[in-house]
Amino acid sequence: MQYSVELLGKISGGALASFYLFLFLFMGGTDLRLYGEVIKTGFLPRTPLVVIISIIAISAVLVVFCGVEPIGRSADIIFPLFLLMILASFIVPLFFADFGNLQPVLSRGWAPVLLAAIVPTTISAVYTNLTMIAPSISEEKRTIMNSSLWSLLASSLFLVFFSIAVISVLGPSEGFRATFPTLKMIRSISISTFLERVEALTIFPWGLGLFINLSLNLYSGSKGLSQIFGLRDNRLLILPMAVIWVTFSIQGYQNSFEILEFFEPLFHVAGFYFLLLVPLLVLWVAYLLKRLRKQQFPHQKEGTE
Amino acid sequence: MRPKFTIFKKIRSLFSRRIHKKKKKRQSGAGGPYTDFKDIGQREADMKKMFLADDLDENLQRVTEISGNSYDLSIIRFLAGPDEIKAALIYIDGMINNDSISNLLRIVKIDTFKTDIDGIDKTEIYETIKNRLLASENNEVRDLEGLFQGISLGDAALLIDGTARAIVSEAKGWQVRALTEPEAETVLRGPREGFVESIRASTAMIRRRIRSPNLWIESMTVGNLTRTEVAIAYIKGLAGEEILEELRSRLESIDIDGVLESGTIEEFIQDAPESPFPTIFRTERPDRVAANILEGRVAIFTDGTPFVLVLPAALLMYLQSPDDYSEVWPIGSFIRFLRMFSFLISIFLPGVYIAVLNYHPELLPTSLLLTIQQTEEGVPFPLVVELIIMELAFEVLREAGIRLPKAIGSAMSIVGALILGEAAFQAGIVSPGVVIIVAFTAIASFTSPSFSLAITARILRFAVILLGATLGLLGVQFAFLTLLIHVVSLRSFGIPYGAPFGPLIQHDLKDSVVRTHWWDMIHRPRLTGFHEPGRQPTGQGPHTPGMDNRKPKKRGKGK
Repeated sequence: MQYSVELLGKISGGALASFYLFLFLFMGGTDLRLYGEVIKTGFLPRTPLVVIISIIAISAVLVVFCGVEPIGRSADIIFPLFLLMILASFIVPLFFADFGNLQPVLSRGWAPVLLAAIVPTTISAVYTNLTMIAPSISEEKRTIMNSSLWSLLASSLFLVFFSIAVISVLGPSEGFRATFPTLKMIRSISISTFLERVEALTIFPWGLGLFINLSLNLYSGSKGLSQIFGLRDNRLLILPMAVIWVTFSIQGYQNSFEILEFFEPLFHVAGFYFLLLVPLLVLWVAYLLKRLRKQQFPHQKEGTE
Repeated sequence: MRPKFTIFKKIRSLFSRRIHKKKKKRQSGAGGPYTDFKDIGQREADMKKMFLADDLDENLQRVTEISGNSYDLSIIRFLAGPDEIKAALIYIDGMINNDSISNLLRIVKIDTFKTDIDGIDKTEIYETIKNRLLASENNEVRDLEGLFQGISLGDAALLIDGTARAIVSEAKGWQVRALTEPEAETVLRGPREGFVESIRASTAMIRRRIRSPNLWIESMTVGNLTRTEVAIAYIKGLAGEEILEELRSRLESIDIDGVLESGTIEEFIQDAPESPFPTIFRTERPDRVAANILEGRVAIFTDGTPFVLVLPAALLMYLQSPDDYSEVWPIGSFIRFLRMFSFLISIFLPGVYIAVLNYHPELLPTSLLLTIQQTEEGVPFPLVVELIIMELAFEVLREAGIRLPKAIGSAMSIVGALILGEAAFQAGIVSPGVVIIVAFTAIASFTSPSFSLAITARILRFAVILLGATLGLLGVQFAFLTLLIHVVSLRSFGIPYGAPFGPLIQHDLKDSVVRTHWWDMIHRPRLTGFHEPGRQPTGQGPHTPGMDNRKPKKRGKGK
């Protein structure tokens, strides 16, 4: 954020920064809506969407109020739970999988595969969040890089595994048609006759993961906004931002199909450029400029930004 | 605010002292009992400014003036030395050891005759007596505050005519409760003694366990009227100096009339007074305190209570019991895991039960659901009301169980648990499902080794029930997240409360849910013992004799 203002001047830099802030809002709102829809259709069909969404948003607001440390710590605690449940919800369906559904492999050559590969790349866009919290991490830079790359790898792997599981359990056509394929897959299985509904196993960790994601988005958003406006405390902005969020997530889409449709063409290509390339570019230019400035004025101390 | 106030006080005291002098003149003539109408703050302030005079009678008069001829205050007047110098011994009856007093009198009366000083001034007699007494047990005071401080601790004060000083000699000897096993924290294996109300006896128990002279015990007085002795025990060089600094400043800033229990101090110095979670650990067991001091924590002893405070606290400390460490590690870990699990159950189970039955009955297997719903028929209340009534009834039972004398306790449990529960179920007021849930939750909450955390779970349970009843599993999830946020944002003297899980500290995980071998815990906890992270050398595990597979000995090094 500060880099973009520094490089591009107050107005254009601010515009770029606010575009990214809008993106935080957008991603957060979309996630909220998706989760709300899942809860509504799967668990609480008679509860209004506003209630569900605000309950999730409130927990995110709470943690952001407490600061960046609690976000990290709750992520520390949630992560093993999350991993455990996700693994369970992934391994259990494998007993019901028909791997024949995966065939034919590469029947149309590599082209469609590579084209589709842009989709997971956009996931890495979430890492723009990292640039916001990086200043408050006390570890070395290498550790940050390492852990973020590992997490990228892990999340991509999970995506692949889940796609495999969905297709092999449900079959390609049914998997394509379902609104929430993973949920449907897990719902379709039953362990003996005793446990028939194990989808709570996925919904709960999804909620936990979403909570971390949301609180990060909210933190980055409020932090960035306070930097643009020159506010000292980002807590003032949290509550209004959260209200806008909830409103956006409810008003933004008619239903969950619209979200999917909206994402199909635009997000993958545009997202690839905007979410990944531009911040990297800004960071890179800032880095180069810093190097340059350092060469020009060797006496000047580092960290003038 | 404060300086103004003190100035005001000073002016007031100046003013009142003048009145006081006038009064004294009048009263010394009459010699009657002292009946002035000064309030307590004034009396305390006056006493602090009074010094001992040369004249013995004057001194004794001041003493009786301050303590008002209290019936337990004994003043023995006698004549010392060949010159028959007037002297007096002041002590509080019931707080002294009679042997010490007679010994003191013997020294003063007989030994002064043996001296070859005769016919010289009174100060020299005083000096002689002072030198005869064992120096370590004696203090010399010049003001009345010091004198009263001494005798209120069970010392005897010796006043001699002609000297404006008093010898306060140690003669402590009050009744101390016998050592018993603390009832709230019993263990299967481990020491059976608990702290007692006397602070000296309690600190001695720690000293007996940690014999290193690097165990430092600082003492201070808290409470304006009770003047309670408070001691801070820690291992110098291991406990964080920042923590100690903070603790001292917090303790010194306490300005209160009385400290009767360590809970008062706890409330003054804890970080999160509004939180239901305790941020300062308290225990009656010396072995627990010693173990914590060894890990770099600080213990606070308070005179008059067997409860010792330990800080900085982490949530995990409340779920650990000394038993975990005395059994082999798989068993110790299993017990500990069970305890954590039951802590979660004691908070969440009723909430989850109501959420599932009210909102997500499809999550239960059909046959189980049918069984539960059959029993639910005919119960006149909605499930929430039923559950809350039963929980409340149980809380009342538990509270009654604590207050009742032990002899009636067993009758109480029969009436409460069997008759009440059975009758309520027979009459169809509550369903057996709810009874089972409430009973299991209660039993789960009894597994907690420290009462302070168990009581937290009791309160939180109601909140979770309400959330579960209004929002289903989403509400339970919300409750979980809120609790999580709260726990990870708490700090106890700068140390994160959720450690070692949030923040994750890899070294400390060896002693968290799982406990590894004693010889494998080569690091002290990183947050409290960071000054000297290595606890013991590696490679101390059992080896086959002859097979030299011993790793080179190296003290563990922390990050």
